[in-house]
Amino acid sequence: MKHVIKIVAVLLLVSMLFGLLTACNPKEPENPVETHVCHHVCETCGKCTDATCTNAVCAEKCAGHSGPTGEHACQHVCPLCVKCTDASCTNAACSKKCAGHSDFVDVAATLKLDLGSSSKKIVDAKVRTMNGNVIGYIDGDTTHFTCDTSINEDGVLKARYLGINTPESTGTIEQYGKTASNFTKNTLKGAQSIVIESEDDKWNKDSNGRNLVWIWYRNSATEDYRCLNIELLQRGLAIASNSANNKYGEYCVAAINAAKDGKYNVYSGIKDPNFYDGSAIKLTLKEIRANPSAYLDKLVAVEGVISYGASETIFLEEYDEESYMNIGISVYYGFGASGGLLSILKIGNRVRIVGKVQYYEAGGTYQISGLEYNARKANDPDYCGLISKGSAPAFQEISASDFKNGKRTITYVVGTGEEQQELSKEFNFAELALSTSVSLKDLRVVDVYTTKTGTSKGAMTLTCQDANGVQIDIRTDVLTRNGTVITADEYLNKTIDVRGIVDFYDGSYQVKVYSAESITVKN
Amino acid sequence: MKRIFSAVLVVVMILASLSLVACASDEEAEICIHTYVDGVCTKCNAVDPNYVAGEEVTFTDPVTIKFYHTMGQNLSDVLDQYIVEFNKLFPNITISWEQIGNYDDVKDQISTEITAGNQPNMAYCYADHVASYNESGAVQTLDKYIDSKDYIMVNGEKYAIGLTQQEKDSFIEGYYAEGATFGSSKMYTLPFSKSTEVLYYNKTFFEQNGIQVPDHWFSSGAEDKTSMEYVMAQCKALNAESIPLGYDSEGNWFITMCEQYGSGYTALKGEHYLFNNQTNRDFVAKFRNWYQDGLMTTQGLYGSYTSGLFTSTTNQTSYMSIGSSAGATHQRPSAVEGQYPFEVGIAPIPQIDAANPKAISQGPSVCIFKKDNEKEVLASWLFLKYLTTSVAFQADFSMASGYIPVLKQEIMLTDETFKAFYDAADGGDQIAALAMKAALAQENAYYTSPAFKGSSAARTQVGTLMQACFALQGDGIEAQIADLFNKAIQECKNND
Repeated sequence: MKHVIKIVAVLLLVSMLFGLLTACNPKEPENPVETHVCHHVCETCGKCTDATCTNAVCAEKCAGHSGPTGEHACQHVCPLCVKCTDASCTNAACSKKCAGHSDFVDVAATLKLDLGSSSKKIVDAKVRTMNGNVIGYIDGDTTHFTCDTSINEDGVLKARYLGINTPESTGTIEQYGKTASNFTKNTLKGAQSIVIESEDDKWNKDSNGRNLVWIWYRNSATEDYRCLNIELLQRGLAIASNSANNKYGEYCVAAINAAKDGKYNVYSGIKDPNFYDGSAIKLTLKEIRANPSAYLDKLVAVEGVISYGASETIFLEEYDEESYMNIGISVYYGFGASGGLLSILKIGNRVRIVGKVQYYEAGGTYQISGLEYNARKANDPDYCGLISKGSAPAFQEISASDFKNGKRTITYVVGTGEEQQELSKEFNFAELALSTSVSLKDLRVVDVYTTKTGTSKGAMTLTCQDANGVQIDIRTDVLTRNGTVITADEYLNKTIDVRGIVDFYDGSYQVKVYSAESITVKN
Repeated sequence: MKRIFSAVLVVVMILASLSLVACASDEEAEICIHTYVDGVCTKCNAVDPNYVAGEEVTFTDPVTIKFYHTMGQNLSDVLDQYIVEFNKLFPNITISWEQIGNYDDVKDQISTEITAGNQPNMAYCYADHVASYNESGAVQTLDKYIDSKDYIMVNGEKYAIGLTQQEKDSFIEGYYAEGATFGSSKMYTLPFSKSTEVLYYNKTFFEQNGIQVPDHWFSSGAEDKTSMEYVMAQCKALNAESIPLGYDSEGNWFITMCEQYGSGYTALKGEHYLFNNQTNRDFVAKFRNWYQDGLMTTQGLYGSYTSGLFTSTTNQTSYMSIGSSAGATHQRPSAVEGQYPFEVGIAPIPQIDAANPKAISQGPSVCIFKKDNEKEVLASWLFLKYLTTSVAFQADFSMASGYIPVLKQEIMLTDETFKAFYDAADGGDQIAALAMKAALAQENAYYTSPAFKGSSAARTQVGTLMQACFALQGDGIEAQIADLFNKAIQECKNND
């Protein structure tokens, strides 16, 4: 018996040793399996959008997403009458079918550009870019072009299209605003040549300093130029604006009448399918920052502390334990904000912001605007409201190194209902810190660039280095002291402490400073 | 005995007289502001001496009315909320509205539609639009509806079709009177929402430097400290880079000065264009000097809204800006770190004669068009009456738009939300309320110009005239001004 026990013990010992050895020295698999990485991840649900991919990692496919309020979203919307063009779709939401538009009246085709007339013109005009990024598409009836400084000192021609008014798509968002804006942008993007024409023999401006013009385009050198102003009117993407009282007034009126007769877009009597009409989606700032495009043009409700305010904008932030930093977003309230709304948008207030997520093209960033506020509904969760007062803005102290090279990984939720899932993603520090309040100490200003023209004339970019030579840009508004503009020599070759807002401009992250009091010169 | 009797009689008579006086005093102390329903005051049961019993009108037929306006979505959202409320009273009336464009676009569209007989039921309008529509006799007079004693049974109660005297009295007088400025004393429009011009000033700068707010234009002496002339000079002396005054609308300025001087601008009958006179040429010459001396600029000369100059925080700024009361939020500098660089003050515009103040009234009224279907006209009237007499709608629309409500201040302040908005008025966050206060404070000063075909073009002409005169250079300025006036008159007549 003792003997049997000994044998069993030895066998057990050998087994353990064998197991230990194999664990510490795993055999190389004969056929190593590469981990498949999906490159077609849906930003809404996180699943694969590539129907052709058969890898097991991509087994779950994105099936497309329903409309803003969960209903069936038509994928075959006629760009004119907004009805469904798919005869085979039997969903109730697509019951109204497009009958085709053989009677479409192309008024724009009847109007010809006279390049030899006495009106002022810019031929082969270019939409404004900055370091390769196009920033000139503003909305449906406003585009920024570059121009000779003899026309406008700053070399920018802010074109306000004559005779038309497209629904709003920046700040406030109106039905068909985005549709009009996208139409203008796509038309100009695809144009082989663009001509800007004045109404008479001089460049005229409106009360906001924008040039009032006709915009012509053609898609190839063999085609005639078409007037985009008329095109927008005849497609029902713009309504009248002094339409009859200009040199192409007859065409403007004809185009408006054609759009009304055809019941196109704004005249269709159908809600804009691209306009989010549902209740506010309750989110955290982290969820928006991690995945802003998923909420583009949607109404969201988000809470946070107001850390700063300037230029009709407030900055909302919230501390995130996971990344041990503040995460936030800018909120544009504009000039029309009522006193009641302004009274709650105060630094240090914790607020509920209800508004639409928008992409600010000129700045290359997402923001919330088109705020929902009703003085009679202060406690309604579908409207902006005050939650509490007395929170201190963070101005979290960071290092230039962290700003420049830091990384953070966060987890966030995407999708709703059964589609909801948790994702994890690594971000650059500055990208995650965008629109939050930060402070930096002991930066050496090694260079200063001062804007020479335009509305930002006098604003500065301070190129700074920390003690380790890590570079960071501090961008200022036009800073004044007692009415006098502060100039570069105030800061050049000095050491400064800075409090500002993380900003993104021209492809780079920087810290934006709005007042002279936010910069302390130490020597 | 007799003496005693006589004495007692006298005492009794005196006591009786005293008690009668006391009764009268009591009555004076407790005068009832009557609220008549069916001719009887609900508070004191007094009988309305003007009451004439009306008849019930049956109105249940479904009717759709078309309303043309210029509202953007933020205002049409307010309109939609109140259409829902209106439909609780009149579920048979469907309101179909359309944002046409701006005011001229509304006028152009309707003018075309009138020729085809398919104009809308009701529309935003200015007085000169109505004058133009009336060349075709298209606009419905409102008197028979305003004065109607008839009623419709709504939810079991009598709903008066007409306006009671109290409802008429609730309108700001000058706004209500605009509806009858077409030469026949008949009412053609009701006011919808209004604005005026006010003087925005840099209150912080004024207080720091002991500058008084100007209330008249021209100095009567060297130390006339509340004249615009004096104040501009003070500002310029403190900041040589400044242009102390910005005035956005040259046309408004010219017309208002004509009213303040009583010097003649236009007339409905006879010779339409009266503005070419010495008084007017003289004030234009004075203003030209202001411009040439760098004391003043206008939107046309500056190249954009003068509010941009006013809100600037550099030394190239202005300290006063005359502009629309509806544009108050644009006359406030941007806040930085929650602080405004300066506080804005708002005052009535300066005057020539303080005892006879004049300020322009702008903003849309609404007219109703004649239709073969009388029920459509009645439905339009009921909707118009609802929008213009509903304190809640006027409050919400006003707070959303920055326009002035058309009802008197004391009526509007019965709405709690509006009262809170109004009471919070300041030169920062609540500047829209402050502008509204300043506008309502000058409600007795509103004037209207006669409306006729050509009145709109005249307005444009005088604006161009002012700008051209301000920019004149060289010798013989007086003669040059006279020449420009002559040309402006001729242009007006050519446009007739």
